[in-house]
Amino acid sequence: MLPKTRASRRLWAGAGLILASTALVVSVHSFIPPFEPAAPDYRWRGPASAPVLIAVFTDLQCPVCRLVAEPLKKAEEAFPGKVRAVYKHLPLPMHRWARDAAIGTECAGRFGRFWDMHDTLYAQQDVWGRSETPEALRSALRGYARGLKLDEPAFAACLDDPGAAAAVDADVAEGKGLWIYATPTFFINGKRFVGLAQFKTRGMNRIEDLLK
Amino acid sequence: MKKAVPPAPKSPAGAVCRIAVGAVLLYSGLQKSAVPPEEFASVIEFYRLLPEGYSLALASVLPALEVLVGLALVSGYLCRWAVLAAGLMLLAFIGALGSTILRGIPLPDCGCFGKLVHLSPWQAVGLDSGLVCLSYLAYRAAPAYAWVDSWVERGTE
Repeated sequence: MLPKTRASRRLWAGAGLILASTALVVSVHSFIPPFEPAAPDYRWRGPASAPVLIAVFTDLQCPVCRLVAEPLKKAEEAFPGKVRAVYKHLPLPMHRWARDAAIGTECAGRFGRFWDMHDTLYAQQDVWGRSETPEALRSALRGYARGLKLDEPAFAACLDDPGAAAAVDADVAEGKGLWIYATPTFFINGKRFVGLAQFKTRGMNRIEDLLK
Repeated sequence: MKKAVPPAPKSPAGAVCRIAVGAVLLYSGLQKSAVPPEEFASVIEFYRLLPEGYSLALASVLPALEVLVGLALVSGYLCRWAVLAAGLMLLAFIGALGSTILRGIPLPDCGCFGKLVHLSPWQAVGLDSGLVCLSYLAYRAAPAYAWVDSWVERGTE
């Protein structure tokens, strides 16, 4: 049954190699684990059973990232009960206070007010973002915590807690591992969308496709 | 009477070079296939060499091409063409890496081996240059241990 002539043998061998390469690539590809971002409970929104998971890596001091909240909420409202969102910190080195602000949200999260602090910090980005000193920033964060009626001394103590900083740094390490160097970056069921424009167009189409 | 010139002795060194290059390409292609193409596309975008929108296409094709050329080299199919293809691919990689070094683009790593092996751009240039040398040696050497090509050659005219 094997081919006898050189020409046919060459053709058969070529086809076999292409087939073997495809099989190898496809089988390796099928072992890719689903993207399961790790985050504390307070950073998740939406039902755990939701078929669509949006993970968003953002920076609290990034001007574009402040515009993420609205389309993200729209996506959750457009598909009620079908979308789950998780917040991932990616304070960029160019933003002086982004990491400290991220720690502030982590501390608010310990009081169950992560999203409130997140919204406050984006709304007040122009204010705390212009802090001249770490003390000024800290004072601003304490002020926001007071506004949210958090236990202010406990919040202030948390700002110095290495555990809160470690949670932020773990996200940064995860982001680096995923080659994310621009914010906001979204993952919709593992597929990457960089920037708000991509999320609003291709990202929303992806959600619709997933829910068909 | 004219004496027949004996064929060049089949040295295993050429085969070792060929198989080494093939194994590296095969490993690299499989490692890249083990992440979603969007991930590898973001690595390609970091090199800032392609117009927007082409990165995903290249990210989908390149790992499969590396696996194909790697398999051809390891199994010994169209050896010289496969070695040539590997050499050209490696030169292209060196060019891409070199351009990021010259333009001062700070790559966190070369992104050549997916998530497992992390080489700096300079280390990757060194590795690729070594592989280009091996490809050249494999190209110059008479094909040996080219199992598929030998099977093809044993066929009738």
